[in-house]
Amino acid sequence: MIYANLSYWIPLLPFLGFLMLILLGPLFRGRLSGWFATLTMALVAFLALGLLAEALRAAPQWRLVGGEVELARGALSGFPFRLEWPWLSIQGEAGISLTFYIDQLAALVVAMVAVASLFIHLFSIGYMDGEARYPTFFAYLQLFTAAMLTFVMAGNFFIALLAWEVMGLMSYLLIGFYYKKKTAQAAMKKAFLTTKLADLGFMLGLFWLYKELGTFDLATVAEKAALLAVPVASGIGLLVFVAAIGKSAQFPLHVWLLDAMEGPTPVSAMIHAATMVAAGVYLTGRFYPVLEQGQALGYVAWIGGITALFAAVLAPAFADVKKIMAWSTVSQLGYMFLGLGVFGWAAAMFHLLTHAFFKALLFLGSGSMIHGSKTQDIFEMNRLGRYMPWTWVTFAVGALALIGVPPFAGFWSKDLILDVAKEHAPVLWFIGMVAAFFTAFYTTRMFVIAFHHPSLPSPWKAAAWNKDCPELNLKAGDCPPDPAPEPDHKPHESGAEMIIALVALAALSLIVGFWGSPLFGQSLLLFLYPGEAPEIIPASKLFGGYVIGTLVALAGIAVAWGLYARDPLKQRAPLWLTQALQRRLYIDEFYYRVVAEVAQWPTKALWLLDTYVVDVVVDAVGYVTMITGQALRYLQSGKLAVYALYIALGALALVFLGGARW
Amino acid sequence: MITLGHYLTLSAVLFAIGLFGVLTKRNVIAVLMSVEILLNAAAIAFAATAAYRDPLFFSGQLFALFIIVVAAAELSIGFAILLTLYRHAGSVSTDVIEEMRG
Amino acid sequence: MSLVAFAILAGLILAGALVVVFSSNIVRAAVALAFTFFLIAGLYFMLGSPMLAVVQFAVNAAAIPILTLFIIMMTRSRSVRPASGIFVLVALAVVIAFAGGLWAYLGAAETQVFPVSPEGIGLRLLSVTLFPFEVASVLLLLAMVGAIVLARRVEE
Repeated sequence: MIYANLSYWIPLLPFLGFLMLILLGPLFRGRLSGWFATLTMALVAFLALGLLAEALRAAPQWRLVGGEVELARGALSGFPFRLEWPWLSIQGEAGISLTFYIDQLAALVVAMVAVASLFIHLFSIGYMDGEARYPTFFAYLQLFTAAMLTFVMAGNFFIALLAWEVMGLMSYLLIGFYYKKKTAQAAMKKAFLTTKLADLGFMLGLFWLYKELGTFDLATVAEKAALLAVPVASGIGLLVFVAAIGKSAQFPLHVWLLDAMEGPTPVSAMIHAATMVAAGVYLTGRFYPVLEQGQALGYVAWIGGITALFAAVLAPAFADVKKIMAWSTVSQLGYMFLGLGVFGWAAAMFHLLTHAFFKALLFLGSGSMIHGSKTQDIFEMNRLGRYMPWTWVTFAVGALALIGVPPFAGFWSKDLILDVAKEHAPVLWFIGMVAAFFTAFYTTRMFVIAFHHPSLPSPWKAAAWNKDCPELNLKAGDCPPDPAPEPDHKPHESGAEMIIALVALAALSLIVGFWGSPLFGQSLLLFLYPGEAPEIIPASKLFGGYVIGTLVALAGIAVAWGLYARDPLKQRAPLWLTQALQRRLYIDEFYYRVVAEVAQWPTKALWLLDTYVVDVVVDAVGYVTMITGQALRYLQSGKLAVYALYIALGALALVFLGGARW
Repeated sequence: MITLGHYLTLSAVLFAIGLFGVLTKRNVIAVLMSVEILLNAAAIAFAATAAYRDPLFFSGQLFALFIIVVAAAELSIGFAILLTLYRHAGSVSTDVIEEMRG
Repeated sequence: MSLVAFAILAGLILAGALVVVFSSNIVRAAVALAFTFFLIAGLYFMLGSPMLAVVQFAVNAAAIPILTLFIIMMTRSRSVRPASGIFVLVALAVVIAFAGGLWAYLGAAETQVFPVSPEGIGLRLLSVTLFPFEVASVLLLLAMVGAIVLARRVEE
């Protein structure tokens, strides 16, 4: 219980680190602030792993016996861990307490966030070296992490909402870290407004939930969810799910994530692996009982499935390594929602865990590629495999994990999701398989072009439709493409801290998957097992899925290799298709041109009302006052005699009023 | 016989004359002198009423006394202000005091 | 007899007041003021209040006109410019209305005057009206201090 009792330090430490860095930033010279933040995170990661170990010991132990799950030992007393302080209590009533609630899922995700964030911090020390506002960057990272950890540990949804909003703010600040760039400004606004719009759903859902159940408490909500009427539970669940869609960049609110790449690469890693997008999945996981009661899981599954396929299909059209990674995140999160929607709660959380590590690895790897080659365009990268061996190896591990090749982490978790889907929704299983093929395709394409081809002229920059950026609603000329690196630029390997972070994450991407695999008795899934849902698939049934998944992945790799190893520049798709894909199917433009316009109609109506009704009334009051004043100012003649006359008239009035006798 | 009415009539006429002075004079000294006439008219009315109607307490006469005191105080302050005005504006005409014109 | 005396006194008082108000020479106005107040002291004698008469004589008939003359000397303003015609007419109308209003109170026909001795006034003043008396003294002190402060020549 030591770590559980200390667990409040887990969000508190990075918050204190944030305060230190933001207040005393200029005192941290050189890389000191980076090391300071990283050490803070190391401490947090230590505490988080200790907490996870304690949770593993204290959690109920389940056992797989012949395909059935049975309880081996109940939970130790005091589990789930709960820390509570009174807060917001009004006149002695209970109010909303500041609660930390750590069950199996929270402990797991806390450990995941802490560890991923630690390596992102470590990587950033080298990556951000020499940038302006170096301490500020780490301060933001610290608060971002603190908010995510608070969100995960929050014992009631009100605290969760607060942390959620802080995360929204931090993503805004970090995406716009290079705030002098027009594109960064537009991107930060886009991200903030999109997620903010979705957050309304969270708030409305929460308030509705409070009205129905009278509590925000996470455990109580989970217990009482069955008491909700089906339409009510459905409404609440879907409102909250809208927030998750926004935060986790699911279709149709995925638009902000691509442009979030305007931030520094470690920020992208942070958003995509450890914090922001994971929060949406986590929230949906927490609202799972409500969604289940509302019979709304089908929507979750379909949103996830559509997003997974949609993003995987768009990714191969892109040339920017970070944007390809961003599509990949959207797609992988789609898998998680797909898993959640088909009752694969534990499978989705398993994928959340593995994805956090391999996506952090891939993003940091692409950061290393960008750092070494001075470009983000995969076509312009010059045979990185030759110059950056460490990056090449670790990126390959991440890519294989993403594609889902055994025995890497993504394989176990993604195939588990697909296996669950096959039982409950075969159509979604098929969609997931197609998406898996495209995942293998775009990952291989990126890998081959970036690491094995010499520097090429970028077809992305050559395309006429990419000269301006309608997806950010900027004018032409406000978003010039990054200059290509000099032709004789020799890529170089990144520094030691960055390599260490990459290797550590690569190792995690390799081994974390085993935890949930049948090779180790699916112990992670049993650890997360909530007690009733039929979601643990016995190992014997998994084998078929593994074979199909591996074959699909290998097919994707083979096709991409075959197409791009020889002639990466050849235009194979029709031009209109390429254009449509590169313009993201015009969804962003549709939002800017149509949705934003329509959203302004009530505003414009109110503007008219304001101009022609409210203003007129206000002006009338002003004019009346002014005219009265103009008239009355002649009373103030400034002449002494006139004032005396007023006095006399007043006295006269008194005389006549008092002279009632006559 | 002289009745109270006679005194009050005198007081009223005197008051009217003083009031006319206050209203029409432009020289501040003259205005203040007219104010003195006003005050004396009031004092006469008080004293006469008391003499005819208030044999026991003669409060009106005490009032007249206080009016004289107040008149003296008022006049001294008034003249002091006037002097300051004169130093400031070089004139004691009411025309120069126009700061309050709206 | 006394009515004749009153008529003469009243007539002179009004004449003096008219001189004060209508004279274009301010020194003459000040002298007429002293004359008027002096006659009002006589009026107080007729009302059976020698105390009031003496005070009127000492303060209003002597001190105030002298002060006024001092001020006239100090400010070198001798003439009194009349106000504009229209304003004079307005003022006259107001004054007439005022006097007419006061006329309503003039029906009093008492004839018996009750004389008051200075002792009576003094006793009354220092017993029942002690507080107003003290307030009046403070007022005079304040007026004195105020007048000194206001009239002091400020060193630049």
